[in-house]
Amino acid sequence: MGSKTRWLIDKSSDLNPRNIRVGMYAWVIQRLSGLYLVFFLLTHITAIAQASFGVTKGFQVTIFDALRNPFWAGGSATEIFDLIALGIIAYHGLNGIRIVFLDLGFGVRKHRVSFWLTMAVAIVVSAYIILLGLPMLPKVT
Amino acid sequence: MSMAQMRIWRSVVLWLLQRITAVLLVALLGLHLWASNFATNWAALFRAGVDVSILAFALFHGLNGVRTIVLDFGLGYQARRFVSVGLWMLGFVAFLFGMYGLWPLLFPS
Repeated sequence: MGSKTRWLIDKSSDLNPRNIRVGMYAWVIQRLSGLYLVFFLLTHITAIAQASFGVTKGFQVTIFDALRNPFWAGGSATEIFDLIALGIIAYHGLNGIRIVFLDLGFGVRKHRVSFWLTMAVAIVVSAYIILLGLPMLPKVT
Repeated sequence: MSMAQMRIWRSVVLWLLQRITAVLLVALLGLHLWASNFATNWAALFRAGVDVSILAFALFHGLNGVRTIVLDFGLGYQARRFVSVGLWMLGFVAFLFGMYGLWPLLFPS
């Protein structure tokens, strides 16, 4: 790293790994999961628009299938990636609720505790839906 | 109200709508998951209402989120307008496409 860009990872820089803590990771993961979900939403819309009229092939459908099953594995792999998507949605949604509370001024001093609390709730919610829905999830052919 | 003040208000309103749609989406997505996978006897009209609301709110929330991320990279005014207008157009097209997909649910034959 050149001397001009050295400040990026200096001891005082926010980008130095030693300065990246829970709140920053929560923010980065919130944005990455948000981008994933936008992609998921757009392909979900087009795949369902086509499926409603009996079209089951097309590049949007393929992308949607690939999002649900990135390695084109057979068996229960699709369900596993459905569940990962479910976990991503649970994370983004519940961390988003936490952000709304922080914006309203509740729990700013306890934001680290509330993050881990939120993660616990996300895991419980995901586990509940998984137990409820695992046998019923549709299969991608 | 001056042009600069209008721009500030627009940003504030978009920020507020981002939070409002976020809270609504959490509730609606629960209903959506339930209605699409588990429910057997749900009124079709209620399901359609939930799905149309999700379509509109999720597109707004998602694309406004993309706009937020892009704007965090510090673009100039022209580029910001370009991104915003482009995302609105993408959202409009995706909304029409989504309505096309929901049509059989909205008006079962």
